[in-house]
Amino acid sequence: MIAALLLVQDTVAYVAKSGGPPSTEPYMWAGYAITLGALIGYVALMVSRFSKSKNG
Amino acid sequence: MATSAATISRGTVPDVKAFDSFLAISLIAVLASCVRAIWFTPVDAMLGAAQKNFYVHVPAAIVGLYVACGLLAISSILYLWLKDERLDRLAEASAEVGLLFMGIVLVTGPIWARTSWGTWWVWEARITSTLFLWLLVLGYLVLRGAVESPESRARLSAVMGALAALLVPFIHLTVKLFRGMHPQPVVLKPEKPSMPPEMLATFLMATVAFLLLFFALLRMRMRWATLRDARAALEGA
Repeated sequence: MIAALLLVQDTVAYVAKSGGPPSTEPYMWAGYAITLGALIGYVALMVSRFSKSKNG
Repeated sequence: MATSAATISRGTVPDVKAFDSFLAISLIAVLASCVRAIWFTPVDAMLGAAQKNFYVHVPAAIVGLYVACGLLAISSILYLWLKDERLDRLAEASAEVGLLFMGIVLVTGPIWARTSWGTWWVWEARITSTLFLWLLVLGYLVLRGAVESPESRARLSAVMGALAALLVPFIHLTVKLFRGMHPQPVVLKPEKPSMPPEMLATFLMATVAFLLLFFALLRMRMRWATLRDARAALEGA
């Protein structure tokens, strides 16, 4: 039983919680969507600034 | 920069590209680190998938607070000494790109806090002082927009930039000096990082990717500032 647990369970990481980890996926997606949206939005802003400065 | 100055003196706007291969590579690196964090890194047993905000929240904090504000302070102080307009452009670019990364920190933090603390926001020292720094850097950029004379703008904003960045060491120490909800550092501490190896690898990859993107955006922002100043010089001539 212990050998089987060692095979499947990460040796360092976590104490297993009964019922598994809480369902917080929407919060993860929100964080990544906002981050990538902000970074891509800033690149788009810079491209627009370049375009305006070049064309007057 | 020397080419740009020569081009300006010849009376034309420098031909600079907005998008380059460095920016493309750094964007791909950030996307790859997000893919690894979301799909190929273990889920925290206590906090669930929301803990994965760590892989954008902390790298963005390292880049936005330590790197961007460090550059803002150094270039501002050097500007006051050397009066070189390239240092003023570097300070301006560091502040703007740093504001973006600090904004990411201030948004992803509450999203993560909602699941781990049960509330979006707590007025404790680390979080509040980071918000104050964000407002100070925003004020720095507003000040730049409000002063018309280039020399006065550069001098006044250099003083403000150097003073604003003084808040960074204080923010770093807040978790030691005050009792609050924000956790102690798990990586930037004297001892070994207290993270499992898979999580640490993802975190390091994300940090490198965010650093690359910061310098790519900084470079892009500085090139645009050169272009903007060249156009302003032409229009003023």
